[in-house]
Amino acid sequence: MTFHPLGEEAVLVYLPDEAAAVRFADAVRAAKPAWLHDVVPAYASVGVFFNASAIRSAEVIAWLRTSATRRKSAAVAPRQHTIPVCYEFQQDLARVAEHTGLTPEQVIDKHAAAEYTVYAIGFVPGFPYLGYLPDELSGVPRLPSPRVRVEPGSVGLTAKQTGVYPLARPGGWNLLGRTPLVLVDVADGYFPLRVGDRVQFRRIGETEYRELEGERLTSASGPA
Amino acid sequence: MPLTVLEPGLYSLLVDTGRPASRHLGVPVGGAADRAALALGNGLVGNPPDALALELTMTGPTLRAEQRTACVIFGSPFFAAVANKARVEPGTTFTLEPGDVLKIGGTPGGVRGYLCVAGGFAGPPVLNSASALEPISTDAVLACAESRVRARSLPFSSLPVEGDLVGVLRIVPGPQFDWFLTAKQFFQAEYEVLPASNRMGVRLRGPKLERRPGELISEPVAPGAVQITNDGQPIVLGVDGQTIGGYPKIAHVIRADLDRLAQLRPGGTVRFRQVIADEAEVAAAARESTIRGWLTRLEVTRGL
Repeated sequence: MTFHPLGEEAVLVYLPDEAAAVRFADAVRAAKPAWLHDVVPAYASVGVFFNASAIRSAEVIAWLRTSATRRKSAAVAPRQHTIPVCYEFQQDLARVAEHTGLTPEQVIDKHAAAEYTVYAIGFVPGFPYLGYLPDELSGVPRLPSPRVRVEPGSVGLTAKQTGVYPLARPGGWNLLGRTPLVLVDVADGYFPLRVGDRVQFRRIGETEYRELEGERLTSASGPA
Repeated sequence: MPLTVLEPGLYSLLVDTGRPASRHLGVPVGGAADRAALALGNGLVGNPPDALALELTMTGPTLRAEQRTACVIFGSPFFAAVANKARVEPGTTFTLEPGDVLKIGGTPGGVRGYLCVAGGFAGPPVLNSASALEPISTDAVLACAESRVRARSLPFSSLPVEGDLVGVLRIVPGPQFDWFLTAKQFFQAEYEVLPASNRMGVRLRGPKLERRPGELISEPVAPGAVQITNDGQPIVLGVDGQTIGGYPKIAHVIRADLDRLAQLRPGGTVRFRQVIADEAEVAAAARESTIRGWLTRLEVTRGL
């Protein structure tokens, strides 16, 4: 475990792996010191944000080294989510098939068969970085130039990762399909996915897509 | 029906001090880009430092008062006038009468100012902050209470900058400082502020910084982080900057200089000066104490 100040209002902690980062973030959150603003895990790192008027980074690092990690908090059980995806709304399936040497059907089967972990949330509010793709699906580069607008619900992949665009944004990932579900409502404070959660995709047809369109993730397939 | 938006201006946004506890959801901290200007403007009209105000960017809006409203414009010295009446002095409080049209124009220096009204604007809270997610638009109504104020001001319309800090931002090393083979250039160069700069980040152009090869896995970032893109140019993250990022960070702008980062004007230049952590801390404490001092003075002289 190593520490590095991120300016004066945050400390960046590097852990051995992604699971250790989620456990560390849970422990810091559970300890809830008064100066703590936020805990942000991303892959094998954790950002600890604090009130710099109340404590200095050197003191935060000393506390993180000792108290935060000594505390044996009960592990927070990861939640399971199933996200329905209509792969008929793909835009880059042929490109992914070409890069991986698989048939389009094999690409869909492998993408929907794997279970993923949310390794980070960011880029846009609520965007889950899901990993890791099975080896056969890995290594597809981003689009040569990003799309100006990716529709909300679009499911994409690149390199070792897959993810869902919760809001319309420009984006360069290869799009394999769309979920009809709402994954984020910023104005309503609705963010069902957390780092450490498990996600699986379920293939649906266009009819079911229309039926589910606009529903929230929890109402259709909440945490198990 | 307090203030009606006749023209929205370039990018006018209702802000408080944002959402410091929502980064784990991918929601940036947001809020006022220049926190000191927000606090002092609010202090002038008798508000708490974090009351909701309208952040003005480069060119301000035109607003019609539907009721008597006590206001001040603080921060960058925007040209402003009450149509057919009087010019509005930046940093001095004034009262709009029902029907008055406040036209806020451009600013000769800096980028952002704050229109603060007595009692603050009202807006729906999202994740414990009323900072708006979108800028105001024509015909929108900005809710606030009826109020009036006598003319008062501070000795300045934006917090003065010590002489040797003009055009300079102080930094501490970033987590990937040692990735850069030509870090020295970073301190010697004069960087140009590019027009693509916004609340998400200030884009700069200068000598291309060389770094060792390798990709960074995305990790948490914060406002003030100096990211170096793959073409060797800096982007300094602003208050609306993303919450995680994969560009290596050579440096981090110190807390005491973050407000001035938000006032870097496209076309202008900036240099970076490295300081040690202790110096950063002293600068932050001094700035906090200065702001608190002025706020206290405003508070005690309020009824005088």
